[in-house]
Amino acid sequence: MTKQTLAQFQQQFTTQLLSEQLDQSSLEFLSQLKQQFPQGDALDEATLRLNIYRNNVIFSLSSAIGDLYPIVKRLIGDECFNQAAIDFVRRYPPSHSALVFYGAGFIEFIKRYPACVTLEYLTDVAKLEYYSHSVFHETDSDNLDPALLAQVAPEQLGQLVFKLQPAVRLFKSPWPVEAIWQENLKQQPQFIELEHTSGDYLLIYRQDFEVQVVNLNPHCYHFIEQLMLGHNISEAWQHTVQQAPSVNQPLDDDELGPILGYLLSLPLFATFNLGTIYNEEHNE
Amino acid sequence: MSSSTYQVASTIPADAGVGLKPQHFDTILDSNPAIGWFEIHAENYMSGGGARHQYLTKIRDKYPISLHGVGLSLGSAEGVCPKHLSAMKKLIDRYQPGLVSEHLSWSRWHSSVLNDLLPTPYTDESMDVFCQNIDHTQTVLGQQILIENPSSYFQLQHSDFSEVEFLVTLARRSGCKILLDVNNVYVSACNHVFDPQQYIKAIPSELVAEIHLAGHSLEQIVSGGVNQGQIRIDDHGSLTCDAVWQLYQFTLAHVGSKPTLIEWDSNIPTWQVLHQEAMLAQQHLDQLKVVSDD
Repeated sequence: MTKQTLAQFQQQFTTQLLSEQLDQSSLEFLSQLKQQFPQGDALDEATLRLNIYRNNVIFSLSSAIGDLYPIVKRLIGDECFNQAAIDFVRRYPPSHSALVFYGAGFIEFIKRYPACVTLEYLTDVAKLEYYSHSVFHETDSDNLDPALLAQVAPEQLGQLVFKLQPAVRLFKSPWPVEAIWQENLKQQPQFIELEHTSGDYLLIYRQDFEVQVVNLNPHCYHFIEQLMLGHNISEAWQHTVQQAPSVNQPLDDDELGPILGYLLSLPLFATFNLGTIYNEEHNE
Repeated sequence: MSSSTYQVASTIPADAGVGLKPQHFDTILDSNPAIGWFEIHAENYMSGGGARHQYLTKIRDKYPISLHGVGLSLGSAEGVCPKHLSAMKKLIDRYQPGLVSEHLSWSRWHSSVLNDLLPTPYTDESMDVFCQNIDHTQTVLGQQILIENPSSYFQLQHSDFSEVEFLVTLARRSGCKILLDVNNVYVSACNHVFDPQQYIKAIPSELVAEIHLAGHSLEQIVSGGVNQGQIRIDDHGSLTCDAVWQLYQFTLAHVGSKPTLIEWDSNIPTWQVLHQEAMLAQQHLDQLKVVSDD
């Protein structure tokens, strides 16, 4: 047999580590392993030795997925979850050695996973778990200094554009995701009503290095969503008012103050600028 | 954060240290234990921020830190990943580690990361690949690195070098130092039936800059219903065994006193157990100092 190049060896070894089972194509790789138990069968021994690495790789990566999605694991059971995680790892191994960046793709994977397709809320629970994880590890940034905000002239407030902290995520779900998540953090979760719920409008952020999950009022959600998109306060509020009928909750202009005050009381914002005015000057 | 200055210098002393685990963050900061230094896995700190970095910054202010990579894949035929290398560089700038180390292994093929320390054929081609990758790494990081001998569960038919010949030649050619993992020598020596003392004696003492100790487990190899033998698995999940402590004493007699780390990465014990293990290593190091002072 011709000696393999290093690249060929590494390509073959990778295939053997990620394949579901060893087959005829594994023989060439296995034949390169030295026999060290002379009384036994060389192929059996090589297979057992290779399996140590196969198990290590699959176990370490699927455990990382398990650590990332403990509530999804609890909802579908260890056996189903472990198989799903193994299938995911074999198909989509990480592309970065820092596993903190691994596992976002599991959200879409579990949505289409045959054993879980009937659990429509599962994807959103996975999303909440992944967002909590990414918020926990997200880049640090100083919080907005409220004293600077106090210096803005009242007539200019509507033009303010905020830059949010990196550790902020928003998502809405037709399911009571937050309740499912909170209940399943407990030892003995209570039954959760899935029918007749109005859905969740979730804000995930970090306070003193701990992840916080808040189910916002829909208007507040739409408003901060618009701010995150880079709209100034006036534009964001206008959009929120337009959206109000869709959530069947009346909205009065008086509510801008309390909503903005509430959001500013949380560590969500990094900086602000007088975006529109600045842009107009800049364009002249 | 790149220009941080810490109260404690970077240099890793020839004392015992332990692998830093999040489970022990609070105990360490509350009790300021007597321990020479901590080692971190680089990949666990490659995120942008959050509590882990907050804790590490505080701990770094009190103790020297060694940066131990497990994912650079220095044996990769396709070279090291520039993104990974720059993440390492960022950590070095931020935490100013006293030592930076990696492994004699590979873990990546194209875009697939396998998250394990995989064995490599000890051939002339592998030597060239490792030398190029280490040279590039040392240039980008702006410092010398240490390379750790792996534990392994199979050997390959085609080899131009024994593992220890490969390691020593590599260190000489690339200008890196050696992180001698005594547990790995023992595990591989049992798995592949060679003399662990001969392996250690083959490494010139001036090349060794750090020592690792850890626990391992034992698995029976059963094939066709017949027990073929046993294999030692390097799982870092228990106390260092007596045979490895003896080999450690032999190692110290050969290389002199070197920074020694207790690694414990699975079934993480209480801080007390881990600290006690480190103090055992410290006793051996102290004895050596007494002898050399005489």
